Amino acid sequence: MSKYSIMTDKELMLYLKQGEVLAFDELYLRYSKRLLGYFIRMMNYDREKAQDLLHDVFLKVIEKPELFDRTRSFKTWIYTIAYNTCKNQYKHAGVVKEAHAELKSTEAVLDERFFITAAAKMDAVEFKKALHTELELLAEDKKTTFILRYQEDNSIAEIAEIMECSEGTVKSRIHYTLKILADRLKIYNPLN
Amino acid sequence: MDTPKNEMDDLLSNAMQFTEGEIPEPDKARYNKLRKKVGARKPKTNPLARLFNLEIKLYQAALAVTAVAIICLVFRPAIIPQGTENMGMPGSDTATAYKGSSLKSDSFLVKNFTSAIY
Repeated sequence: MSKYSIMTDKELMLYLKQGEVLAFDELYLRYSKRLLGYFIRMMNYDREKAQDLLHDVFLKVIEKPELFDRTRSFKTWIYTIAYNTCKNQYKHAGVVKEAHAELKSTEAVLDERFFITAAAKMDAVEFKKALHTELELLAEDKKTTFILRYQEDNSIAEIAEIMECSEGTVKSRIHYTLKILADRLKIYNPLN
Repeated sequence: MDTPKNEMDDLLSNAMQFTEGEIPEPDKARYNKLRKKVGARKPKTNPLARLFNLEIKLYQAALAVTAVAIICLVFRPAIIPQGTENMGMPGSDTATAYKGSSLKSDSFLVKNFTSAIY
């Protein structure tokens, strides 16, 4: 166990700036797999592309460490880089997810019990597969919000910082995304 | 304050987690390249290594060359034209010595060697 394993992310960044490779190793250990998982879902399971984007993120961390604002959390900073990297990738690929087949009635109340009941009725693997399939069809901002919340376990405040929007916007995006997913998962007839 | 998580949130979080082996290992070759880049940031302690890794700007090189040129011009040794090494001082010494000497002008030495003086 090296001395770096007990350091905070901010302390590791200070050492990284000075060229300390072991400090970088520790940061890489803490964040590489999580970010790879984030990119794999954002890039619809294109693992090669996910590896490229992971490399780009850490390259930026190494080449521009002065951009890290020490008053901020390192976690939100690196996720912000990851989010912007994804956005650029989507723009570059010309991917524009139309908001088609979205919930027609936005006044419909989200039935939170739906997911619980659906998961109970469906096989766990089946439910997971169905959820991921529908997630792939979502618009970028909704998909990002959902993944940052439910996969990466970020708080509403952290997501707002990463996506550079208000907490209210994050909450309404999550709420709207859940309504869309609930509506789409009905086609799998989980409640029958 | 964050929205408290409920049963639905837990369900969705679990559904979003990757299973064992679902996430590949980060690419090792790229990882090693990143490590090298980090290592390159380290300041060189060996003076010789620092010298060879010195980053010199163009204006610094120009200033150094100009300074060396000025020093060379100011402190250059005096240049004596070729073929004139025996003129000047030795000749004038001999002429002055001859004029001041009491040697008779019609002596053998004077008759035969005055051409060497003038």
